[in-house]
Amino acid sequence: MKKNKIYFLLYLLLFSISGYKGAFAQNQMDAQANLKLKALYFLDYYAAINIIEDNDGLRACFESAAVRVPNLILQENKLADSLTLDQYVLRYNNYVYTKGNAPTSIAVVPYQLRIDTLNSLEVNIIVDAQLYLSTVNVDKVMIKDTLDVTFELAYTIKNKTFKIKAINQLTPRGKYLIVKAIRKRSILDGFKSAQDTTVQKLPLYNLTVNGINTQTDSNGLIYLHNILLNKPQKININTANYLDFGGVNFNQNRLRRIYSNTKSNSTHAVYFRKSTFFLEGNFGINYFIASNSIKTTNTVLENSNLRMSSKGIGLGIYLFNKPKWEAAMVLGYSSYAAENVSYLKSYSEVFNAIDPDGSKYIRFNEITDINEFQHLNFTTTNATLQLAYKFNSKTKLNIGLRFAQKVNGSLKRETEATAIYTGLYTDFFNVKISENGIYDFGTYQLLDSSALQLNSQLNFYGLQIGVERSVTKKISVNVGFAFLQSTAEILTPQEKSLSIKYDQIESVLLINKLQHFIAISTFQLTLRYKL
Amino acid sequence: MRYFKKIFFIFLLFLFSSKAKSQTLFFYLGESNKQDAPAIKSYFAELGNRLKSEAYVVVNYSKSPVLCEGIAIDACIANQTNRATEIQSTDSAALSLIVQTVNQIKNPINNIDFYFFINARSIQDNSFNQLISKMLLATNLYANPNTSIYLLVKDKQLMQQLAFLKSNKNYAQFQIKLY
Repeated sequence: MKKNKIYFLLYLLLFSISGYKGAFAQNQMDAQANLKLKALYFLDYYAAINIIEDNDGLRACFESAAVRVPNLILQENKLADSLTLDQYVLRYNNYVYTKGNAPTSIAVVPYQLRIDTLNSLEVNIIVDAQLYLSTVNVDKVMIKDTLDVTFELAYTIKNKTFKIKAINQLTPRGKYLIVKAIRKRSILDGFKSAQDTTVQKLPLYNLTVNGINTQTDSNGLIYLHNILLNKPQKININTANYLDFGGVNFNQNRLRRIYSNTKSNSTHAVYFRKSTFFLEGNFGINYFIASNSIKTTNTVLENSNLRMSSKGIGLGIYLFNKPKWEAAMVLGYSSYAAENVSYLKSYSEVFNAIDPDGSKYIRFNEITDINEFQHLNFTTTNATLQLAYKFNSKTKLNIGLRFAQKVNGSLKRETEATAIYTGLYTDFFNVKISENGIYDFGTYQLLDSSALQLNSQLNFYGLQIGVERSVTKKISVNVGFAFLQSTAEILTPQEKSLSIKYDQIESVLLINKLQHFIAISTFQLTLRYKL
Repeated sequence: MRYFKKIFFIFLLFLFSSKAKSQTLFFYLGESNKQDAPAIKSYFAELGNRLKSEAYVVVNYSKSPVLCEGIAIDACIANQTNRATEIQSTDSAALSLIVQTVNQIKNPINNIDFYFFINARSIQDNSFNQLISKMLLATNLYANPNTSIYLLVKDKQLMQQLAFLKSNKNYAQFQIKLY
């Protein structure tokens, strides 16, 4: 029982000592917390009075006129400067009240606080804080920056007042540069300054600053902070928009020139433009038999494609270039080559003739298995109206309508056939001669070639479809299909005899008034280079 | 020696019984949170009694800030929401109450987490950031590894707007959550 009493008393003793110490510590903690809060509220007061027209009130926050403060006049863009309070007030009044700039708003966000008791009369308080500065310059542009500073405060216990003994920048802040992203719609836009209100600003525009992706604000601006001119500077601004071109490189000297021009207000225009022109080269080929380069109205003549190819160059101009749709006109020069074979199973003629000895007879010309190889080459000037739907910034579907006119061209043919020439002499007991050796009767293997005259006026229309993919910002590849058809016959329809002489044969394209059209269909690869 | 062991045991028991506590939740409801009162009410309704017993809420909806605590915080917050006035006390009055309360409940391992309901209004200027910085500095919890600041947001898009906190020296203390 006695032991229990001892435990109980010991417990009480510990509890009371701990409680007393706890209460004392709590009071001390509360007092210190109060002092800290007061110091922080004082800094809020200083920040608030900085922007109102109360020089006396501002001065009263400081211990003396010689206290040094950072240059918080954002419009001056000299954030690394250290000024005395007097210098600061003078320049601030001149800049804000005389020149009509907006006052600088300051928000103090503290991150460290130390209390050093000097003596029973005064307490030194050190507050490390970030100063969030913001204002509007004469161009109505909101400018902001953040400084890392240390406030040295003196708290007088008797008067319960705070005074600023110094505001030191931990690391002097470099200059800022405001970059205004502008859409260059015409050559004239390129001569406009950042202050020009007629330019088209690019809000929320993706660009890169020294390779790092960033975006302009709702006014098409980006801020580059902490630019130090005491060491070589290279700032590269480029568009991150795959469809655009433009950008700028700043070096130290260029930045100095911008800052020395007071009218620029540390703002520089950077122009971005969409591509206006492009060059293209294309190559097409088709080995498919199913498609014939020469189409004939009469089905008796069978045409087969051996090879079709095309190549061309063009200069394109964008008619419009919207985020989802674009249209372009391409003017170009193309050359086409086609290898075609025409097959005619048989051809026969019967007519009255006179042999070399003057005797009359009926001549039968039977020509079979006529194969004619045609080599068609022609060049055109062409105009293509092209419409594109963009799936994304890199891929689009192109559909084009092409109109072309022949510049020159040639059509050569090689014809092979088997001919049997027979003569029926009705005046000589109906003798029929078809053996070789008598006159030109008999069986012959014919091989003949000639060049055919293409119509001088030859126009074409065509359709192109393909998918274009950007390989780099400037280069894209289009893979697709192209079709081109002549609007009229390539040869004037004729009704010639296939048989010219016993050992010669005419082109199958020139018989029976057949109409022939060119129809070139190729799988096409196009390379485009944007300008 | 036998007595010494027992006294030492009692001392240890006393020490741990008074100081070993689970994580304390500290909420602040200011002017900007009035508009989200229904959502906040639902949040607290789902909190659970165990967490509520460790929760403190400073409600600053009227002329003077009020501290709600324990399992009755729902009723206390509802009462304050009903009594919300156009004119309310300054953040500084609420901050004093927060600091005073935190300093009282704080223990050596400082296991207090702060919760703020964030909406677009809360972050339209620097005052919210300033309030948190002042609170942490006055309670010596700035950059304390055991103290987290939970920012509760309703809208995912708002999370991006909280990127400005990255420039804070105590950014590691901040955690963003949807509620």
